[in-house]
Order: sequence, then C-alpha cells, then structure tokens
Amino acid sequence: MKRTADVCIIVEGAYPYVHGGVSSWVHNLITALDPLSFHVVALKADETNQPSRFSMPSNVLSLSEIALQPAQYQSPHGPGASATIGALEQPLKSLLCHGNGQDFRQVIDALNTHKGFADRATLMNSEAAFGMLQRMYDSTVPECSFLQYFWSWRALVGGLFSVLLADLPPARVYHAISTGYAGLLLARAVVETGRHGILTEHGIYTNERRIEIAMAEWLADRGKPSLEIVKRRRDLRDVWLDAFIGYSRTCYELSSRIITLYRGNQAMQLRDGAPSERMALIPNGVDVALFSKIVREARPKRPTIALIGRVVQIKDVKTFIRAAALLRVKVPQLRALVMGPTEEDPTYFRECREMVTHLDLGQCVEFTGQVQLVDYLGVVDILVLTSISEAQPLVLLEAGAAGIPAVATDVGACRDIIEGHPDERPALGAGGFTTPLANPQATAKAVADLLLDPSLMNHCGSVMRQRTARYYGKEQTNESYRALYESHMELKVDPLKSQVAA
Amino acid sequence: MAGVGFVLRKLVRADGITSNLSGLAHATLASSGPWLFACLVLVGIAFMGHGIVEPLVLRQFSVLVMYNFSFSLVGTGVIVLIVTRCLADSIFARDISQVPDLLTGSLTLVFIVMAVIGLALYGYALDLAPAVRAFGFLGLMLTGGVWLVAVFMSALKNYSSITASFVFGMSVAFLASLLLARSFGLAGLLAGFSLGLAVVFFSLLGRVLIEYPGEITQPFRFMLKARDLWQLGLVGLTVNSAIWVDKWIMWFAPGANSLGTALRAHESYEAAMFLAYLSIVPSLALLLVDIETSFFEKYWKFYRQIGKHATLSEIRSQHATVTRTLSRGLKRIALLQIVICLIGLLIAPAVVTAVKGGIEMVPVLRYGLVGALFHMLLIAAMTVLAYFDFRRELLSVALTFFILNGSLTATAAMLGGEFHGYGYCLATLTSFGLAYYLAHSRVNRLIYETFVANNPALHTQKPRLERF
Repeated sequence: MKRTADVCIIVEGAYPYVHGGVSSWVHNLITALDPLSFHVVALKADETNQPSRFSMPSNVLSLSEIALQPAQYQSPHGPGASATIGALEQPLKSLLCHGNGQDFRQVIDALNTHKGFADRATLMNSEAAFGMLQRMYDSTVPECSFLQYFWSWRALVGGLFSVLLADLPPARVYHAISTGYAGLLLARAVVETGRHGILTEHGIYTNERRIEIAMAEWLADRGKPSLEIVKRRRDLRDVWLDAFIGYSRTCYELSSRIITLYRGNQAMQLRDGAPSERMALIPNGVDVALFSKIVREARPKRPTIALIGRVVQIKDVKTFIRAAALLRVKVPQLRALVMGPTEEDPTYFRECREMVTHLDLGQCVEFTGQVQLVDYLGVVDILVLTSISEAQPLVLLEAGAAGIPAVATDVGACRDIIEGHPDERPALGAGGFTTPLANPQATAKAVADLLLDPSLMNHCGSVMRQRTARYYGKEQTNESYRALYESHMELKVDPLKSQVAA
Repeated sequence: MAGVGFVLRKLVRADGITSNLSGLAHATLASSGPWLFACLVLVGIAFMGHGIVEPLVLRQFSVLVMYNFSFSLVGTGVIVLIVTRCLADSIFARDISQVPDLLTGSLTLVFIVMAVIGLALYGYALDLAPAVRAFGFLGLMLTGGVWLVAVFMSALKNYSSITASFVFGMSVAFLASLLLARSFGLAGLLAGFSLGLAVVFFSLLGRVLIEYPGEITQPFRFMLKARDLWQLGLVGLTVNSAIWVDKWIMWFAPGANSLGTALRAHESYEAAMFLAYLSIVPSLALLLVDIETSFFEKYWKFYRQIGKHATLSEIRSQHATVTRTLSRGLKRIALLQIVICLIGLLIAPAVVTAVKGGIEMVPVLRYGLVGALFHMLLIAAMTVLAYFDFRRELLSVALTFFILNGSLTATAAMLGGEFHGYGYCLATLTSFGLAYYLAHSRVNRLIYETFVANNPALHTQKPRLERF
C-alpha cells in the first residue's frame, strides 16, 4: 500500500517524458511546494519505456504510469462478459455523446457491480463488447468507415478503461493538469475517495483536440456520398469530439475548483459545461529574479530574434522561417534562432530544415535544440512566437523579465501579456506586438518595426520587464496553489454531491 | 500543452486488419494432393508389373515406394506448410524477389531431413541389396524434393504445368521401370521409378526457376519468420502423419505381411484404402474449382472492402454472401461425394475382384469409402479454416484426426479383421464433426474474428517480424 500523499498530481502526455511548458510547470510547482508530498500519475500512450526528462523532486513519493493504449495479452471472459457489457452499455454510450458526470458515475457503478469480469480484455475484446461497439456505430455514424470507427472506438474507450482500471494512489487532494483522460482519472478519484479534485487547464483540452481532429484529414468521411446539403452528416470527427467533450464535462462537474491561466480560456470552459462559480484564474509565474539579472549583450552585434519552443506543428515554426526570409530583405544581418527540442516530431523538423535550405536561409536561421535560456537570452533582441495555439507561454514572461520585447500571435494569453490586462492600473502600455495567425508578413513587419527603431524596442522591453515583475512572479503562483491545496485537503462533506467546500 | 499524450494517427491503424490477409490458399489442398498422387501411382504399379517380375519383387517394390511416399510426406510436412505460407505472403505483397532464397533454403532443409530419414531407413532398418538401398534412398530424396517444389508451382496456380510434369515423369517412370526390371529386378524397378521422379523434380524445378527469377542472398532467412508460423508447421506434420498413421499401425496388426528383408506391409488394408481415396478425386477437383471461381472472389472482397472503409452494413452483407457461398459449396461437395460413396459401396465387390483382391477386402473398402466421404468433407472444412487463418483451430483438428486415426485404428486392429477400416472411418467422421463445428462457428462470427479475436494487430506482443 502506498503512503498517502498530500497531493496526487495527474498529468497526461507531458511530465516527465517531454520538455515543454506544462512539464516544467508541474516540476517547478512540486519543487516549490516542498514540504507538501506528491504522488505523480503520468498518463502515456502505450507501454513503451520512455525516459524521464526530469529528476524527481525529493517530495515526490511515487511516480505511477498508466498506459492509455496498452497491448493486449489476455483472453476475454466468455459468458460473464455479456452481463458486464449489458450494464455498461447505456451509460458508456451517453458518456461518449456529450456525456456528463452522471453517466460517468454509472459507468463506474457498472464496473464495480461486475468486478470479476471488469478486466480490460473482457471490456475490449469479448464478443459482447464487440456487439456493443457495433450497436454504438449503428446508432451514431452508420454511414462511416467501420474500420476507422473500430479503431477510433478502441482508442477512445480503451483510454477510458485504462484510467478506470488503474491503481489510484492515495492522496488528500487530487489535481489534474488537463481534462481528457487525466480529467477522467481525477473524476474517478473524486467519486471513489470522496476527496476534492482540482483541475488546472493550461490549454483547453477539447479545443486542442478540436484542432488536432480538424487537421486529421484521414479521419474525414469516406463513406457514401450524401445528397444532403443543409446539414453536414455526422462523421468520425464528431465521434472523437463528442467523446472528448463528454470527458471534459465529466471532469468539470466533479472538480471542486477549475483553474486556468487567462480569461480567454474561461469562455471555452463555460461552453463545455464548467460551472462558473468554481472557476478561477491563476496565471503562471516565472523566476523574475533570475531572468531580470540577465545581462543584455550590447550592440553592435547581429540583430537577433528567437522563437523559443518545441519544433512541432502547433508552434508553426514554418511561419517563423518565412517571416525570417521576408525580414532578411530589410535586415540583411538577421540572425533567427529556433530554440527548443527538435526530436518530438521528426517529420516536421525535417520539413522545417528543408524549408530553410529552399529559402537559402542557412546563414540566418539556426536550430539550437534544447538550450538553457539563461545562456541565450542575453543575445536575443526580440522574442517571436508564431504558435497557432498557446496557453500562457512562459517564454514570453521569462524573456519579458529579462527586458526583451515580444512579437506573438494573438493566441492564449499573449495579448494580455504584451498589451496588458484591461484592469491593469496604471496601464503600462504595449511591450511589443500581437499578430494574426499564420501570417509571416505581419510577423515580419512587427519585428522590423521594433528592430529598426531602437528607442521603441527599448521602451517595449522595459514595459515587459515591469509587467512581468508586477503580475507574473512565480512566488505568487506557488502561494496561490499552496493555499488552494491546503483548503481542499479535508474530506468533502458529501462525496455523492460534488459541491464546492472551499 | 497538456494532454497530447498520443498522436491520433498512430491509434487508427487502418491497415492492421487487412495486412495479415494471408493467401493461405493452397496449404490444405497442397497437402492433400500429394498423397492422392501416391495412391494413383501405387494402384498403377499393381497393374503394371504382372508377368514381368516375380510377384514378391513387385510387392516389395510397391512397399518401398509407399515407404518413400509416407516418410517423405511426413518428413516434409512442417517445411512445406511454412513455405506455402511464406510464398503466399510474398505473392500477396507482390514481392517475389526473395523466393529464390526461400527455394534454396527450404530445399536444403528438405534434403537434410530426407537424408536423415533415408539413412535410418535404407542404411539401418531395412536389410536390402546395396543397389536397392541406393535407388531407394535416391527415390526418397527426390520424392521429398517433389513435394516441396510442387508448392512453388501451385502457389502460382500453375496447375497445368504441375500436371504436365507428373504425367510426363510418371510415364518415364512406368516405361523405365518395366525396361530395367527385366534385367535388374527390384533395383531396376526402383532405378526406373527414380528416373521418373527425377524428371518430375527437375522439370518442376526448372519451371520454378523461370517463374521466380532473382538472386540468392540469405537462403535461411525464412526460418526467422517460421517462428511465427510454428502452428502451421505443426499442422503440416500432423495432417500428413494423420493420413499415414493407420497404415503404420496396420503394418504391425494381425494379418500384416512380412515381405522379407524387414519389409512390413498390410497389403489388403492398403489396397482397400488407396482405392477408397481415389473416390475423392472428383470432389477434390470440385473443391478446387469452387474455391477458385466463386468463393475466393467473395472472400477477397470481404477483406478488401473493410480496408476500403466500407460501412458495417456493407461488411455484414458481404459476410452473409461469404457464408452463403461456403454452405452452398459444401453442400455440393457433400452431395457429389455421397453419390460416389454410395456407388462405391454398391460396386465394392466388383472393384475388389477387378484388382484381384481377396474377399476380406470388401468390408475394408466399404469402411474406407465412408471414411473417404468424411475425409473429403474434413479437407473442405480445413480449407475454410486455413483460408481465414484460424491456425489454432486448424491445429486442433489436425491433432484430433491424428490421435483418433491412430488410436481407433489400433483398437480396430486388436478387435480383429472384420473391424479393419473402422478406425479410419470413425476418425474422419469425428474429425470432420469438429472441423465443421469450428469452421461454422468461426465463420458465423467472422466479423468479430476479423476485427478482434483473430486480428494480429491486437494480439501481438512484439512488433511483428517483417514480411518475408
């Protein structure tokens, strides 16, 4: 039996396997909140052994891993399966179609009632389970590719069962860092332990899935052509999205507090069914003291811009490269750095490098790989972000603390950080520019305006420095979470009703 | 960004199901053809030699040829079935560049196995003249080679060139044996027969080398894949053993003949059984034609349309078509075989008289004919199991057949002459019952089997070895 931790933190597909904003955030929060003790539950795609990119802080009692799509070794139960599946079918079906916490509870009840048969093999591979899959297909998307529905269903439901069948480490409060499967595990912890669940969403899970699913053209309808014009026929993309919306709503309904980083996210949380009275904002903080000490390298030197982030599609590195190509006309000496790990999406990285070659930017664009920001920020004149989706990018704040102005796409909290929150008193003004998405011309123009006007650049830099120090210190964030944890460590009064105790 | 724990595309392995679509097309047929050929030749020899050599020498010759067929079929069973599968996969994948490797490697293995058996048989177990030992050994090696090489041709559905090779080679064997027998007796018969086998072997080999051009690089690479196919290899061994186990037992049963020089046979039993086997020739041909013309196309469409994103209702309707085609085909084969069996039962005494057999052969032949009826249906059911890649089921049927044919034949032999043939008859009946039940239930829930129970993408622990 594991020791009860103060907090069980649940992360999906990030910490401790990949670098990046959310992973570092989790790591820093745990480290900062010592002596509170933590269990970390890491959800990952399959059982392949992934190296941890972080050394576990000493206040982490255990790290447990849950594979969402494990390979299958056992055989399903034969006869007992149909009763289990029979009890499971209705609630599971509603959960997958914009479901809610009520459906989720019934799913858990069905599994608990038929404990002997509620193993993964029976739930996924028995003939009864396949019958359920077929009925769900028939009643939702009977005109879509059955092969793709089959794999989609297995992925969606397989992840759910992984989360429901996994061991739950004992803790006094549970904290999920996204909805989705992490959120489902949080919901399960709330239902089964009567403890409070806290949810922090950096990006909005359903929104990120929506983007991912929209980009998945291979998931598009390949069924029979339809003559219906008025209404788009439901296809597999809806199946995926409906399920994720149901998963998110379940998590929202069962969480005691729903935290996010900036206002823009809250609108989406409300849309997906989050109760507004439990919602709160805690922005991310950075180590202002550390970054403000960075000595900026004086000119003359090559004018340098930097995109700090993983080389993946969502960061839209290609727009950055195109912008660099446009900028080079006005700023021939330009140096454009792409600072961040490149191994996550090798195909995309290769395409980026090919683009650099094609545009003859070999002297201009550099991929540095994973680096220590502190060593590099001194040479950077402007921080550039071209992401098509961001939450509240820490690099903007870290660079800001060092007095570096920013040009960023108008996503997530970027506008709040660069232009200031509407309630900011006294208003500090703009610390750079926000630009439209996937628009290299706009990015290039904003960068050129700053680079070619040193006084504006200095002014923006100092605005960024002041704003970061005032609102985005990591101490503020850490204290907010410490207070939040401590006020939710007692058992809830009535575990059956997910009322807020705090 | 949290929660990107997986890449959607990786989860939708759209090709998982159809990638293992094996053309295990000829496995079962390929394993039932050769022993039929063995029967034909042996029956032919019974007529051939009268008046040319002494009856005892002729009988010794028949027994030696039978030994060669028996032990070569059993000895090559594992390799032949594995090779059949590897070949089918290569042809399915439209990449036959590695077939010369496969041919070289498997032929080497076959020759090694045959040499071991041959040394044990001709060098140790049997007490024969040196020339007889030499030609017997040569015949065994060639027979084993023929079984293997024929697979390479039948995988291309090039039945006509197989038939041509056999007809031509066996004609050579017939003439050469008769010519040489006059001067050299048993050794001459065997030498002539081996010459015919050599003609079959090398003409097939030549065709194979023409059909599959390419270089030999790693001849034993297929053995890596064989680890995945051990069940299939075992099926090959078991089926071939099952077909011969009753004869082996009968060699030591009451009424068996000792033909000197440690040769044992049960001539009346064997003659009756081989005659009975001949009764399935028409049905076997019908099965082959049925599969090639109507079944395969529907079977193929079933899998292909799944990969082409059919809806479930389309899959269900194609499943119904497959089931209907199968049951119609099976009914036709059953009907034809029943008619032949009934006629055979009626004319059994006349047939026995025609081959100059004793009256005690008649009941054995009748049991054999009924057994052949179920044996034919068993072959049909096993072919279905093989097509849908139900290897475990195939293996359990083969093992059942082997165990029952062995134990029931032994029991019948102990009970006395009037029960001879009864063991084989009961064994085929029971094995067919099992095979039919398995094929019926698996094919009835084929959609579930295809997507879940028999879907290799869901059950392999390690990434599968690359296709041969």
